[in-house]
Amino acid sequence: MEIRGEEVLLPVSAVSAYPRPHWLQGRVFGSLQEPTWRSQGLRVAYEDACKICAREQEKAGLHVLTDGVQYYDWEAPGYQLEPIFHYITENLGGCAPYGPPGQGVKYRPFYQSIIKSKITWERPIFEGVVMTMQNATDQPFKVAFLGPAQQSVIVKDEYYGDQIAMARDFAIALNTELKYLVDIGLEAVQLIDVLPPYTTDMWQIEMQNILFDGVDATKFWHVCYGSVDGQRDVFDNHATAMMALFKESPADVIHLEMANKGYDELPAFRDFPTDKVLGVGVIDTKDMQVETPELVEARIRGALEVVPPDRLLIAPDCGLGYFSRTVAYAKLRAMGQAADNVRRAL
Amino acid sequence: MLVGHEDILLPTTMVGNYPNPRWYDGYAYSRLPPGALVYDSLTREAYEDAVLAVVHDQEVAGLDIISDGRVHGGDSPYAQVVYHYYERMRGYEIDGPQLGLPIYSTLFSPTVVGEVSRRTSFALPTLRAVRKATTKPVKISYQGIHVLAAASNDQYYKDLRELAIAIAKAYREDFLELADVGVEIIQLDEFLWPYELSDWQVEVFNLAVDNVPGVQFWVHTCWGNYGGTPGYLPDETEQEYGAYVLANRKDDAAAPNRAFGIFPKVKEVHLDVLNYEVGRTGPDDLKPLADFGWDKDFVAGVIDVKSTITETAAEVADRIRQCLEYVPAERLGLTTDCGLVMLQRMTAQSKLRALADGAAIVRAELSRPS
Repeated sequence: MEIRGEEVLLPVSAVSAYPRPHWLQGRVFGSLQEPTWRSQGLRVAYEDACKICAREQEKAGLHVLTDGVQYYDWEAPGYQLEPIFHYITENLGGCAPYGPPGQGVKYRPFYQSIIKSKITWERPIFEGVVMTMQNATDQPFKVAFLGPAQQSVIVKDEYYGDQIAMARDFAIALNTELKYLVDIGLEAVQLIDVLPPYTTDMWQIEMQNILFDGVDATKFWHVCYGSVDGQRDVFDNHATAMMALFKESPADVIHLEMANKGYDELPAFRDFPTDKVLGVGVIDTKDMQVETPELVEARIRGALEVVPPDRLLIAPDCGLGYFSRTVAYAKLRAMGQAADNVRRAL
Repeated sequence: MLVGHEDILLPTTMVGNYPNPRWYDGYAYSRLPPGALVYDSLTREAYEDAVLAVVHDQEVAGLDIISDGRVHGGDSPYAQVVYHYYERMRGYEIDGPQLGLPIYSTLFSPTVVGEVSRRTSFALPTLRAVRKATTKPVKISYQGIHVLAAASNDQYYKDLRELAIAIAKAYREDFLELADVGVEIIQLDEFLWPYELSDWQVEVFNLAVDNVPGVQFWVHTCWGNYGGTPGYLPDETEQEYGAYVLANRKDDAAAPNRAFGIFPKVKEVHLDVLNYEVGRTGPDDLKPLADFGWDKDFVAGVIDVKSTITETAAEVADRIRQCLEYVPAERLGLTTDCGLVMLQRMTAQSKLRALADGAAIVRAELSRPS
């Protein structure tokens, strides 16, 4: 895979979330009616947390870092997904920062944002993240965000009456955001959209095309089988069915959970599109036990039987945010060491 | 100048004490317990985070040698830089009368009630945290041996020298431990030497540092700093609760003899690098280096830690050029006058940058063919 113009064999990256230092509490960024930085004291603590998060990834040997989503207030068990559901809608025009509870027991703790009028981009949403990470590391990093198709199923629409039209405006607004971020130097972005296990409708790809139009950065797409409070949402195998979407997607890297599922689905990736990099999950993010580098190596070698090393990216299954920092770092390190060992053997 | 195994022209570093990140101060977890830190404790996590933040500030500024920043925890940076050591030795009770030196008189003197020896490591957790945070050469600071002895309320030994020997032995144990793990530089802050430097201080210092393999020993001294007030000698001026009222000191209060107070005796000390304050007080103190033929490395403090105004790189370069009139470039290093702890972190960051940028200007001049 090409990173900053150089061909890197078996590059390593984390997915998105990383546990925050315990001294960083609360929500860092405001919503549309508030200043970007909710307090300057929190801002300085956030900056230090990003340095620490970046350093741990650098030491573990990662090639593309993540920001670790250190701005999310997600330590409270039972409410850990709250910011994922609301952070973007609270910063876009047309969305009310309140609404009825989500549907089903699992989503009831999170309100659904209500779409009141046309969705518009009002101001930069992730600028603070990019600026802070640029000061924290010299390495490329990616910023992750929930995508338009996914947004369109978790909000409560009172304006469009047409899910696809609404998703399209989400895509246009987020496209403006991404272009803004790339302008200030962001090199990689990660779309989080976990709809494909539920539906393989092709309109999702239309939204990705709008989202990524003219965005000159490495584009990751993360798909997983769910991770609310450490639980899985999808139990069946969907890899074969999802392949049609992957073929049409404008993403450069498509990343999937695999370690926690076993590698039963791996053979389906013989059909993985040859113009894309496959991000393979080699760290179980629902198991606290730290993998040994030997075990991770075996998982990487297994993946190499299906996808060649120039199109394989090594990653954990999902974010590491639910672990203690000790465990999260140990898992990253096992992953970095294993990738190193396999790379050297190639 | 040799730093570890590397020859660096005009290497830059900072003295020690650095403003803690605000999120580190005032919490139960920001009190370091004596002994090894429990690996999965909040205390270790927060401590290493704070050290990393302080290290990152130095790296971003472009310093060549990374200092531990003396993140000691506790609720007073001035208190903890001495109590940290007493809490880790046997023979001490951690209370006693007020300290006798005016600017440090808000502190109490721990009482010596028995034989003094090392109880737990002084600096190993620090070295581990700094090593974890950087790949650059590392400098670990210790409070001066003379300082610790003189700040004690000794009810056990027959004189200061005997107590200082016991402390030197405790330090030596720590130095050997650090040398074993690997550290480029150990710095002792002997800020009482300008008040008095005689045979016994030299003897105990040498006892502590002789034959510690692979470590460069630096001595930092300065002309005193408590919230910006320089050191002076006790007199009859007003006191409150046993502490001197700094605003009531006399303009002509007697004070130590600065650099002239340590020469020529300092030539007998087995140190590798001498460092003292030059930035605020100017080049006068550089004269004894030439007068007494100082032939080891010298690290000059060229950043004023008592002013909140950040020096420009050009001002720093001017100060460095002055130093070069007394010390050849290959034996000169650069640092801050003293710790930056009393400044806001934002100001401290910009001062470190001015230091690195000023050094870069002079380095470029030196490497230009004349």
